Amino acid sequence: MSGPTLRTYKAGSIIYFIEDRGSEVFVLQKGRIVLISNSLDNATETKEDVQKGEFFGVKSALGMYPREETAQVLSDAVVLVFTPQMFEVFCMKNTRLVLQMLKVFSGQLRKVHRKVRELLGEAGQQENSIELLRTAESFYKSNEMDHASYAFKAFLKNYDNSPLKSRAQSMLNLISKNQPYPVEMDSIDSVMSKIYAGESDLNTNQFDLSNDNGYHNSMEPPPLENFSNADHNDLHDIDIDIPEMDIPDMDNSDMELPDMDLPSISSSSNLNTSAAAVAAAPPVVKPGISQLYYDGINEFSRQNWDAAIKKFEASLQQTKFENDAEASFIEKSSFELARTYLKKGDLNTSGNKFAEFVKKYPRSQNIKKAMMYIADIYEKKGDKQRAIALYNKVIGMPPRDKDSSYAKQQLDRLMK
Amino acid sequence: MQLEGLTSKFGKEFQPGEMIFCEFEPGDDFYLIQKGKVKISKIVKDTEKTMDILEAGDIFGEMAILEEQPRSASATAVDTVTALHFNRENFVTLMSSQPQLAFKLLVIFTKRIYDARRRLKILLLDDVQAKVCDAFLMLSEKEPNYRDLKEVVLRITADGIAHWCGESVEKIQPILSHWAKIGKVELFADRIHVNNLNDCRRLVSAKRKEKTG
Repeated sequence: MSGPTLRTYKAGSIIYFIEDRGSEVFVLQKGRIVLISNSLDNATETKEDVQKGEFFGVKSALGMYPREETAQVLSDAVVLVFTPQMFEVFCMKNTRLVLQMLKVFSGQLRKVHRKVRELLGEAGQQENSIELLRTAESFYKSNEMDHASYAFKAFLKNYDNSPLKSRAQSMLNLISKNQPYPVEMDSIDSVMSKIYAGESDLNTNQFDLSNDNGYHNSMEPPPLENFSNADHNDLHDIDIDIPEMDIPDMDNSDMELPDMDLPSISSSSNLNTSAAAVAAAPPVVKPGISQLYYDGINEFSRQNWDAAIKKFEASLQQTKFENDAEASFIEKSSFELARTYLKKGDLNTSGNKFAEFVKKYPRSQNIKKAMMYIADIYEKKGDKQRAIALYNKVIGMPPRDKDSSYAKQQLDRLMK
Repeated sequence: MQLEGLTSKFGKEFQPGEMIFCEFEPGDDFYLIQKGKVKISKIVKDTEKTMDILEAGDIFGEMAILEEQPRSASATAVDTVTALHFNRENFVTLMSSQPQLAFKLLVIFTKRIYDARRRLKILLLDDVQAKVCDAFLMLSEKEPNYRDLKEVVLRITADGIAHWCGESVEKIQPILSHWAKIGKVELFADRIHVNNLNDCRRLVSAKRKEKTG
């Protein structure tokens, strides 16, 4: 196979455009070339000079995907051009170069993964321990005893301090005796709720985020009684004498945080799901409740606030529900109702609805968001102190996630 | 070092059905399959779903070398599997002595970077409908004639779309249902038929421009 070819380019010419497809890899030998790329949200443009002897166009050539930048020649240039095969042969003889590229690429990969996780607000270490246990129990329920045994052992090895250790140990013992999954056992969520309830009078220091042993961080947010320096009943006073003011468009500001997926088994505190129920067929949701919620979301996305409010309120009228899945729609409707009032511009009602939500669903995964919406409303009302107290409370609530970061940003801003 | 030497030093054998690692388990090592097949699976609603079956020459678990994140899926030996076992300690030794492995990993990383950056582009959109459209586009881009493609059948469900959008399925489902009503998509149990990709391209492009202001 012949080696790489030399190619010359005149100043001002383009070697390749962004989005082009091409499999050649280049090395700058002489002249000046700049790589022009856009940030992922197209907000900024970056120009980067290629150094002499530096490779460019490698990733898109190897990965066979479109070029991610435009390569423009600034002064007459000479480049070495490799076909993919030539480049591979070259790499085989230059392992050090490959290792260097691996290092650069792994750094880029780590960076982009970190960003994805930030945007998704993915589970922290403590949730991972619970998810590992759930996985182990799923294997057990499916009679995959070896896999279940492996997963329980992995849990015990890695999460020795977990309050669920004895549960994992007892299930492992049952497996060793070839016993079936104990359907009478409480669900993981139920156990966590009980553990939590036993410690619900803890002061905030006991939710110290520095305690990273996989337990405190994994607990649900504290109940409302612990939730603010200000008495939570104050939240119901939110509608008195509030002057008309511009409503913040939270959905278009940094305040808006994407909703997270509900866990497959609801963690709603007032619904202690039995292991038998969990092990049984998936719960059936009455179409009425889910449909009303979905309709509400549909109207919301079309900015038909009044129509959305009607749907969510109708959903909340459905007081009888038989399982966690149904209850989760009620909870979500309650949150969305408050958000819709905010979008509509009815600050008072929104504040009241969020307060009702916080009181009724103190362990909702949207609890922090609800509290931050209230804090924002307090701030708009001019009650900076209550806003600060609420942001402080959110910061103190496990797990440490992007809501916590947002609350910290807001607190820092208010304290300036 | 020759491959035989590497196998005796860094090789591991797994029996049929044996679990190599479990979803959510912490781990800092990865494997190159030399012989046998490995199943990659995830538990979804208490049921194990197979994501992929890997064969000799494939690498799995490689993200562990980069990140201290738990495994994103489980790996199980389908038949008798022999695999080279890498970790932070032996990584440079193995890569230096086996440049073809290093090159293979380089190619895998470039693809992973592209996939992750592409996903990030979806997540950075504010509008949920645009996110769904961009997920359609991302999945269609794998088609060889993507640029001329006007419609496409995607082997994905609402759950999958919700995953790519970083949204709950409860938020995605009504959008899909609405689009099905007005004929933009057709929904099936195991696939989604997107009837007008150009609509998706227009919406995503408009939302990106809007965002850049």
